[in-house]
Amino acid sequence: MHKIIAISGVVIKELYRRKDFYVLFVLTALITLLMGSANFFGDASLVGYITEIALLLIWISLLVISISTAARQIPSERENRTILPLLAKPVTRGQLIMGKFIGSWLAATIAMLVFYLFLALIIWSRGEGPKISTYIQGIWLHWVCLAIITAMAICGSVFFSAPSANITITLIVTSAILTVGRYLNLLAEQKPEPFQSIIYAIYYAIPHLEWYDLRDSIVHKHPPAPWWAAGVVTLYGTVYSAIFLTITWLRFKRTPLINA
Amino acid sequence: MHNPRSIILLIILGICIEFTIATALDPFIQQISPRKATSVDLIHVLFGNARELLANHLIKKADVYFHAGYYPSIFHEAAQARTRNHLHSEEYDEHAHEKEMSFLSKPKDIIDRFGRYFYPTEHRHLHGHETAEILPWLKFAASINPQNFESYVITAFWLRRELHKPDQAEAFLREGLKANPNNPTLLYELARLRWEEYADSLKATNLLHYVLNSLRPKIQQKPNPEQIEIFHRAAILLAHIYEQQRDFKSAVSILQQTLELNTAPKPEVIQQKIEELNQHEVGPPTTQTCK
Repeated sequence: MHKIIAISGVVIKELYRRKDFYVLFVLTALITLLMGSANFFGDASLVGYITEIALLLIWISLLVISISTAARQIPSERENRTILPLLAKPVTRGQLIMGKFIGSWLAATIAMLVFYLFLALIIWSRGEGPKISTYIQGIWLHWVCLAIITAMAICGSVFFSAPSANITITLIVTSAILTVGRYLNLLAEQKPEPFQSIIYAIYYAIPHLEWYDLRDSIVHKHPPAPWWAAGVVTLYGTVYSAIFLTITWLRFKRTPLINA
Repeated sequence: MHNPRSIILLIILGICIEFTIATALDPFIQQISPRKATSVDLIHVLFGNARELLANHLIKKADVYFHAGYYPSIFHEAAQARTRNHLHSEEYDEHAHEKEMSFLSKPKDIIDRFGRYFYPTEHRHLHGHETAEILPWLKFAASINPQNFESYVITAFWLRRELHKPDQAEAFLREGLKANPNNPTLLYELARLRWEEYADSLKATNLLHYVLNSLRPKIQQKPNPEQIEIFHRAAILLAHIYEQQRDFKSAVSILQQTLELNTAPKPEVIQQKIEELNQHEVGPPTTQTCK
């Protein structure tokens, strides 16, 4: 286990060194503060629009941070040929994948906590914010969602030749699931066969990331989802992450470490 | 030639040439297609015609907020041809609105059923101070496309009805009138505000007469549903004000105009009201009002 922790520690340190997080955080903070400084008919207690805009920026930023961090891990080790001494430690390929996954996920978690803390300070300093229980559940589910996305990006890194292709495709796929995943069944109903069956198959196969998106409930001050349901989606997220990591491992153990 | 310095110098030279050509060509372009005064503002330059779409989207966003996040997506049939009367009028068809908003039928499968725990699934409207949450989106919409008068009407309605800020509502309507001079809908809303909030019958009647006089020839030439509706509403309000002032003759004359121009959705109700007002002219006054 300590080998996995050591590998993940290196990935987390990478987050400090890279500029992505700082740029995205400053951008999010600036836009949120700019929006917060606007005056709407003398009412300074309005928080809905700030929460909505800030949450959208947080989701986009964390998608970018988690995917770009995870997608670069294995290809950069192979490209720099550092993978050979790393695996000679000895570290198994499974441990390497787990270390990279946990490191990328925890790096995204640190960024996520900073973003949500900033947002909490802004909204609760202005007036009546969302329900705290919904906010906490939103953070929790976002965290589980990041695990699935990170696992997806790591999985993509052993299939795609370049990290850029992996980052682009994973970003498109996750954004598509988040925006239309919920409506694929409605879309399937309107299509003739065989498209209907194909869309239904996609609908049942994809990880339903939209379940983890509680932005509407937070912004519109709704109560949280039942906690048992949050537990079920946590389990669902764990299973999907495990599936992606297993696929990664199966592929990675048969792949030559250095490109010819 | 391949050193970075020469490349930077080349880029700077290119920018200088482009700037010089632009300044030389601009007077000719101005002569061919003169720019309107409004096109100089940053939003117009940035968004162009897309600002109309964006403003409409922001008004829709205000509607989403008004329903506390419970709103049909583009994949739901209810998203097609939705009316926004519930956003700026007390007199909307509640039954039709409920029907529009019952877009979530029974869950189609286990994923659909389980997913409903994680987003709003209950139809409700914001009330009281909560409604202030819709205002930022409307103000954004008005800033992006000042020609969309709907954002001014909706904002003014909520400012005075739920937030009790008639002065701000009036100021915002006047801002809308600056961007849309003589717009009959905005003038009607202003008249309504002056009458309902300040009982200022003089300004209200003047504005309403202006609305009726400006719309009458348009309706006679080429009837348009929106103009017909605003003409009818203005006429009803004006008749109501005259009735309150016990000027029954003027009230009858105004209502007769709606019958002559065929703008009343229910002419028999107007006819009944005219008969009632005619009786007042000869009989004792009552406190019944025109609805």
